[in-house]
Formats: sequence, C-alpha cells, structure tokens
Amino acid sequence: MSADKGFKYLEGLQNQFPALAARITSCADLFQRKLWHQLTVLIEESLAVPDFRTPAFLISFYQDFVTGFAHKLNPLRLAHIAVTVAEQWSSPEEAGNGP
Amino acid sequence: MQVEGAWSGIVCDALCCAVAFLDEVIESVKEAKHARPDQPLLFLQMHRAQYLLVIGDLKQCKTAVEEGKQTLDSLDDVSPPFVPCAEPEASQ
Repeated sequence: MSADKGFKYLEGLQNQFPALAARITSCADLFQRKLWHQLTVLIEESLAVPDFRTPAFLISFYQDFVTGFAHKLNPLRLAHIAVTVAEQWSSPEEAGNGP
Repeated sequence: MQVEGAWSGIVCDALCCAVAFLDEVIESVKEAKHARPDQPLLFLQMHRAQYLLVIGDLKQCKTAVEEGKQTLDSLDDVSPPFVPCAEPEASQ
C-alpha cells in the first residue's frame, strides 16, 4: 500500500468515525514513521475499545489498511488480530437483522 | 455456539464469510514467507476449523484438526514446554 493511499483512507475513516479520530491519528503517525511493532501494539490495544471492535469499522480497517503492510507485522500477532476481525464477520450484526 | 431456527441461514452465510476471510489471511501469511510461519498458520487454521464445526462441515473440520495436530506435534519451541514427570521411587 502506498503511503498516500493509506493516509487518504485513514483521513476518510476519521470523518466517518469521529469517536476514533485520536486512535486513527496515532495509527497514521506510526504508519508514516514505519514503526510496525508500535503500530501492532496500538491495533491490539484498540481491539479492546468497543467502538473499534465493530464490524462496520474493523472489517474495513483490516481489509483496506492493515492488509497493505500485513507482511511487515509479527505473523502471530497479525493472526490474533485477524481472528478478531473474523469474529466481526460472524457477529449477528454482520449477519444481518433478524427474520 | 449453536445455530438454530430462522437465524441459521443468515448466520451460516456470515460464518462462511469468516472462513473465507481466514482463508485469505492464511494465504497472505504463506506468501509473506516468514521464517517461522507454522504457529500463526496453526492458530488461524484452528479458528477456521472451529467455524467449520459450527457451520456443520464436519469433514473439512476433521481434516483441518488432524492436519493441525500433525503440525503441532512437529513444532518445537512451543510454549509452555512439556517436561515429562520422573517415575516416583518405590517406597520401602
């Protein structure tokens, strides 16, 4: 993922999810400085934040941002993050409303 | 996690999406050619197997679990280390 594309995506995400603006700014800063370990730690910590851990946010965040530099991250920690994202796919919210 | 009633079709589709997503992640970890990919791949494959179990695809689940066991048995350096207990001395 090019840096510009990553920043533009995060900028759009800040507008869409203002409650997470500070975290997204921190992600952008670490991404720009290529501090992959610190970025991994930030993402892992953010998974405990309810607004971060929603299907609407997390699936897009992983697919449109994290995949661009996933090969830079510790693979075991990436796997932990990915499993949390997979839970969002299988959550009732993502599954749709009731019958 | 049980899938019953009118929800089952919707939730199964969602679980299939989760399986497809994990398949993509597994492929990306393999393509990245990390030095020691076995543990993260095993972690992902076992979660994938769990979803297959819930969906009801027992054949694929069984295959995944058996392959996972083979991988686990071949791993060294797995935490915590297994130390076999010494045989107790016979009392007099």
